Amino acid sequence: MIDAPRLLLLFSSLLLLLIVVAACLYDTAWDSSQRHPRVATMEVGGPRSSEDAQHWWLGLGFGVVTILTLVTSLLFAAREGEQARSLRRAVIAGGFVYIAVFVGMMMSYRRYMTEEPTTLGPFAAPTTWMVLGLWTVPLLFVAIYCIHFRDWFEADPPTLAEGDRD
Amino acid sequence: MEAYRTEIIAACVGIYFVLCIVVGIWAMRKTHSSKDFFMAGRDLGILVTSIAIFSSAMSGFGFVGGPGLVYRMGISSLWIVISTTIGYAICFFLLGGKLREWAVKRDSISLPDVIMARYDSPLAGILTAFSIVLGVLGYLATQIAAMATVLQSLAAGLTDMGEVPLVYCALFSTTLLVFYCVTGGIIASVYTDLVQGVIMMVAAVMVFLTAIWVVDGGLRGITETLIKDDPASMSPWGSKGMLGCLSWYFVFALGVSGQPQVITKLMMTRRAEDARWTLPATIIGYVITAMLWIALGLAMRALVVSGAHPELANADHAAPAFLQGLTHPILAGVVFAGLFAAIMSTADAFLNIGAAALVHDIPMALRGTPLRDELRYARLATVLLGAFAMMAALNLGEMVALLGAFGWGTFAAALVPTVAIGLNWPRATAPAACTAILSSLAVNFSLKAFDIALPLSIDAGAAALLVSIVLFVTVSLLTPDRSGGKSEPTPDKNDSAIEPTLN
Repeated sequence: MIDAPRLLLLFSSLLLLLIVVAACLYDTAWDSSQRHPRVATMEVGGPRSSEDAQHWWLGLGFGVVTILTLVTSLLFAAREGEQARSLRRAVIAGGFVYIAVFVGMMMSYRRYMTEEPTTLGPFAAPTTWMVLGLWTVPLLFVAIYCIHFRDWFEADPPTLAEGDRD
Repeated sequence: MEAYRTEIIAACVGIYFVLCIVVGIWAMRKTHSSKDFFMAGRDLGILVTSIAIFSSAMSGFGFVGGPGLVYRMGISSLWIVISTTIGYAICFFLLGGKLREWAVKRDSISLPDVIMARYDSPLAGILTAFSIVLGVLGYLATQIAAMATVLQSLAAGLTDMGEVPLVYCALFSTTLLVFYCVTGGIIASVYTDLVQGVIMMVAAVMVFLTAIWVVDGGLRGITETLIKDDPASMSPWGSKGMLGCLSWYFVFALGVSGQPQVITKLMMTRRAEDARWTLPATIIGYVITAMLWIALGLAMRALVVSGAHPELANADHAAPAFLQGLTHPILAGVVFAGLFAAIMSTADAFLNIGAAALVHDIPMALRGTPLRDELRYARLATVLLGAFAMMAALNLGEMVALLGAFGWGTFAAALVPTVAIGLNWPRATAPAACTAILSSLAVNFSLKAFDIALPLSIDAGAAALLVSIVLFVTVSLLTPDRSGGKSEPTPDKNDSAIEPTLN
């Protein structure tokens, strides 16, 4: 049995804890972004980006817990009985794909920062994972919503029809 | 045609202004009651609702601030853009059917109405209305300031008399905005949103194509130029850094479900099942419009880095500089109209929500009954709010920026737990809702007012949202549930008494 409120509490607390851990680990935690050497109105990665590459595992953890928090929020839509079980199964399956894409992006990011920066399609390789992967993978949940709308989401249709008279 | 660039742009913007007035007059004939004024008579179809939702979320920030952020930071701000798919999915999963169900069964005409009914707590309703009014004033003032500034720069090229004073530009913009909001209420707002959303989509596609055309090699060419300059800026984290970007992703994804200008639209649909196709339609609209944000910002960064364009004085000049220097005058005109559309579609939604909070929610929470001639008071409140926001925009300076920045994070932290989670979790209690709202106001306002920066560029709104969720769930679990766990609405016993006074 999944207890969405307690999971949400757990993941939100974990995110707060990870922020504190990161603030202690980074030397540049309180530094502001670095200005571009030639163009004053632009910024560059600077020392923070080197530390990000070094502590990439922290980003992996923070990102995975963020996704778990977002997926847990979707689980609040599960009401009771068969509807809840089916919706939970579908959302959790979608959550695994979501996390897998994020892990793929982080692996690609690690290679990008430690080896020669490469492109994949129109962007830098990890950014392509982000834009074409992370942006589109939640469409799985959109598909779940559209396909199973009548079974899992529509609220009490007869009463609503009555209410529609106004 | 190039010689008449300013006149062509002004003509496009002028046509758009006339369209807003026409829609306002048309909507006035359809507005007979406060339910029409605040809820569009709960008669919106899929297309109108979806365009109204995405265009209220994509404000002037998306057209000017967004490309400016990409120009300044590289990829960082794309986390805001890509959060929309999961953000709208969460919003519809939790509220797509629920909010409308509450609105219909309890005859609610605003978000605080629903909160008051859900928690059986006038205090929770008042706190929601108060946080909405605070956020609305900030957002509205920043939108009016943005409109006046753009109008001033446009007017400067049209007259030989030098710069038109900002106060006249603010007065003109506010009058136009208030006119169609007063005459047609939310009906005018959503139907102007329809016009505005279509203009924004057309403008975004045209700018995207132009942006990838002006740099050799298109998007790939832009990427290669920028990687050569600074590989980190083209990595997913740009210059903001890993945890800062992920905090944006978190607050913008979960925060959509707490934006009143977005979620109140879910209470206005004609049929419950419309939510099914409104979700994908909203996402498609947003994705198309966001193409401008991505392409324009990256193109300007590549052009400046490669020396093909002089350095900009300010990152927010990325969009205006691109439009003035690199696009066909008609395209520039359409995009300038799109810019006004983006600003006004957000401003009109806030004007309506703010008026509802003042003339409906606060009196309902204090007196238990609505005002006698609510529609007239709603129109009066719209005028007063518009005037007050305009004066704030002209006189409060940094305070306006403070309130504007305060908006998204405050709404997210106050309303995501209270509305999105509370309507789906029977155990959520009124003390928890009040605690979440108060903690959201306290955390967001103290961080902004005392200029406290969080480590690693963590977004203040994200931190406030995390604190508010932790408090909301904890307080709910620790306090007795006095409302009987009402996550499902029951018809209001007083419905029959309320109904006649609404008109």
